[in-house]
Amino acid sequence: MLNEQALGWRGYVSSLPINGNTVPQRVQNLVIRDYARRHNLVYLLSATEYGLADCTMILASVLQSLDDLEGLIFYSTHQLPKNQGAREALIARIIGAGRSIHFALESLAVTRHEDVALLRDILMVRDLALSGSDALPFTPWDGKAGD
Amino acid sequence: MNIDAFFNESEQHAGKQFMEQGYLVFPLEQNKRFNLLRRLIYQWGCAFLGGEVAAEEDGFYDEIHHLLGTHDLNDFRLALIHKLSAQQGLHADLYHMAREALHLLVGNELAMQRGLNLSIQLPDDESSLLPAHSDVWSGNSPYEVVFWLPLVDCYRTRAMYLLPKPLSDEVTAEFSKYSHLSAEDFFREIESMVEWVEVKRGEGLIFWHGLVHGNQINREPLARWSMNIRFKGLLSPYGDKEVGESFFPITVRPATRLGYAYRSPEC
Repeated sequence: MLNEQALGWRGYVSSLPINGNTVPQRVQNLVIRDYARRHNLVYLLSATEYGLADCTMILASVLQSLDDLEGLIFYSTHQLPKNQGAREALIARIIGAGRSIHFALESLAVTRHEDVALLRDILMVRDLALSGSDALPFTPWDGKAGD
Repeated sequence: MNIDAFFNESEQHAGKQFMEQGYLVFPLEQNKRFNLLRRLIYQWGCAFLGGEVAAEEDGFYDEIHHLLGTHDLNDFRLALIHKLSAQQGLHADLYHMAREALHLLVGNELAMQRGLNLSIQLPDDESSLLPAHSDVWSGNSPYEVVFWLPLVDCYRTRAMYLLPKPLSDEVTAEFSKYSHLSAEDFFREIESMVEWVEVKRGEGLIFWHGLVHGNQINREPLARWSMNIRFKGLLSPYGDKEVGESFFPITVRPATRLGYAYRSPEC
């Protein structure tokens, strides 16, 4: 159930390069704000993840305040955890709490469990196809990644 | 091993044409879906124009310039694109119109462009010029093809032009001769070599967008309406238009899903 004080959607931006590209936080916020405006979402000041490799401390803090939010707006799906299991757990936690998760750059919204299938397929294709960015984040068939 | 043996005769012919020229015109599959699409756009267009449109469907498309001024064209086009984007199942309809040709030329495990485009070129409208270009120059993956769908008969300047592959290859190889020119001057240099691709209503065109292509001012008396959508092999390299943002997977096969989900047993 939404807290009576639920205010809107928290933005989430990165301090590190995203998909090999340095995107100024100001630019990430512009993209998030524009997405929120076009989709009539109340945009809350973005949380900025620490610029430490694989760090998700700020994201964890945001998730602790999920009761006070209607959801999150990530700048991009590239900010999701590389580990498949961690990714699934994050999405399950947000959707399970009745909240939504949006990705402004890709204009993707996950508001229900049924929306997850397309997101999963996109991430799978990104992992498998050579996209000009860095090498695959993990090799799914060696048993070391995922759950 | 004779690799031609894996394709039937018509597939061999179509594949050869595409490899040699870089494009293929083909009859649409699923004419019902195409006719419904045309009907929907006609109905939306009439509603935008206030509902009091005397023209029948064919007249609406051919002579939209008698119902709409060039200064209103962009708002009209954007309103229709908005409607198209909200239309459930339209991506699947478009895929099915070109399914066999796409499977032959690209494969049957595909990604499709998310955004839908609609082009309207009114007769003598100078604002609808599309300069000669190859989409790959703008960062698109060379593994993409364009499915160009005319909603009316297209011919001469009512159509788009492209430089068939041998000539596109020549121009690309000698691009330093053209790179200092304006887009219009570049077209003048290649004008005698371009082909205006005749595509009738009920047909589709698939072309490799590494070809130099574009359109000029429509000097025919009737308007041109067309849509264009990109497809690519699901797992072939993506360019700047990446999966998620610009493309989405549409026909992921079970073997890919099973392979991706596989985990080695632990001893």
